[in-house]
Amino acid sequence: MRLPSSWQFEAIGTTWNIYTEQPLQREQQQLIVQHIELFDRAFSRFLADSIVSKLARDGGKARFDKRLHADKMFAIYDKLYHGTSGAMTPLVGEGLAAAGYDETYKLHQPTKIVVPVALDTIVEHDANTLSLAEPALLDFGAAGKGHLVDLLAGMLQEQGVQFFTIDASGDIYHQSNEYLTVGLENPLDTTKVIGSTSIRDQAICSSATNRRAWGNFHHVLDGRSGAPTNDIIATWAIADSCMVADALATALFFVSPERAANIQPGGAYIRVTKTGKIEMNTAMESRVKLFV
Amino acid sequence: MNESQSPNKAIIALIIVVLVVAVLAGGYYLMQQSNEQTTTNTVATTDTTSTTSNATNSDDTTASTESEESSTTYADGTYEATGSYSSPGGQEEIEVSVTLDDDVITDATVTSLASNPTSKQYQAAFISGYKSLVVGKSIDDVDLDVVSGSSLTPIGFNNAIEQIKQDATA
Repeated sequence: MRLPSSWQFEAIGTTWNIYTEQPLQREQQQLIVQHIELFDRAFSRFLADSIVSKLARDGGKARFDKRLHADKMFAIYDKLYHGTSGAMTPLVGEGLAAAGYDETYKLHQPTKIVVPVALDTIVEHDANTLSLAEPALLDFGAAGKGHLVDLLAGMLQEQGVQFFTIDASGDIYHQSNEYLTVGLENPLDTTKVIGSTSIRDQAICSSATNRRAWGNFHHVLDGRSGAPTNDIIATWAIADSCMVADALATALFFVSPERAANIQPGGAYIRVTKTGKIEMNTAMESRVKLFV
Repeated sequence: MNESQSPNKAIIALIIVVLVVAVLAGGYYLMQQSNEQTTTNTVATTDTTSTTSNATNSDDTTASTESEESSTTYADGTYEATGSYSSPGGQEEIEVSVTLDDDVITDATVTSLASNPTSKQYQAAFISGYKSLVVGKSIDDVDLDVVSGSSLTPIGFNNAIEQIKQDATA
């Protein structure tokens, strides 16, 4: 069931909707917008004066605002970097920029394929600081949006908003006493869904290569080769937090749902191969209704 | 980039041929049926029919039937058809079977009947890839609160994609 009041806005490169029982007050909305800006000024590679952009120019050490809980982001990237044997890495930033996927959106076939270096050769971090041994462009697209959803969910909870749905264009956190029915979009025909599931007090995230694709290139890069992935066309992950769901949705391009469940137990995982084959772990089998 | 587009165009043409053949053959069979409600147990397999790739001759096989008692356009069941087409190497055939449930294709199998090695290759590529093209339910037909898929792209990105498409056709 979808909550009746919706607030739609643009943030971090896509369209968001926050659904609540009562319309959010202006002050609540302003706090949310400010928190999004705080996040953007830290993690966006599309803003020239963000922490990420400064690290890309100069390397060195950066400190993140405690309210961003950067430690959680760092932790999930570490875990999945190792779990995917290096396929999932924040060091794909340069490869994406080489194809024009930066603030200019001058999308083109990349002039070079950039193979990321091993993560621990240049990155060090503790809870709220990140150090780069050399300048490097970090891309937090794999889990950043999910993490921002979690931050905003925390904000709404603090404000005493009991029931809400945050839909960051397909990456969704739903807190309610009723289930939210979620359709799984067919990436090859977005008027269709390949199945549906439902969540309550959980998140579901999707990743697919249909929208951010140009020519032979798309935005999900394999950190081992630097090239776009080839065999998986869509993934979904259900988890207790949106950051984890978002991160696992990316990881599923590189590891099977069973393997994903070994790396991050407790989640429900499903993915579609380019030949239309559906793969999922046991937890997803019992909660998804397939239409294919 | 151009080299990879001609096989894709051939495959897409093949897909269209096959689906048109399957739908027309199924529709033709339906028109032959008396106007009775079919149950989901009925397997409405046709004899394999051959139609040419320019299947415009069939003016009695429109996709939409006249109004019937049932709420679906097509009776549930499995429909088979063999399509033949002209390839640069000669006439080739491909056999398609689709299962309809509630007007949705819930299963499809394709069997290659190609003889020419190049045609075998194209048919094999189609067979390995077509399933992802015929699946799912229309969003309007499912009771959903939200849809989860890849994130919508911002206007700057969309403009860039549009530009690329225009450049490609220039």
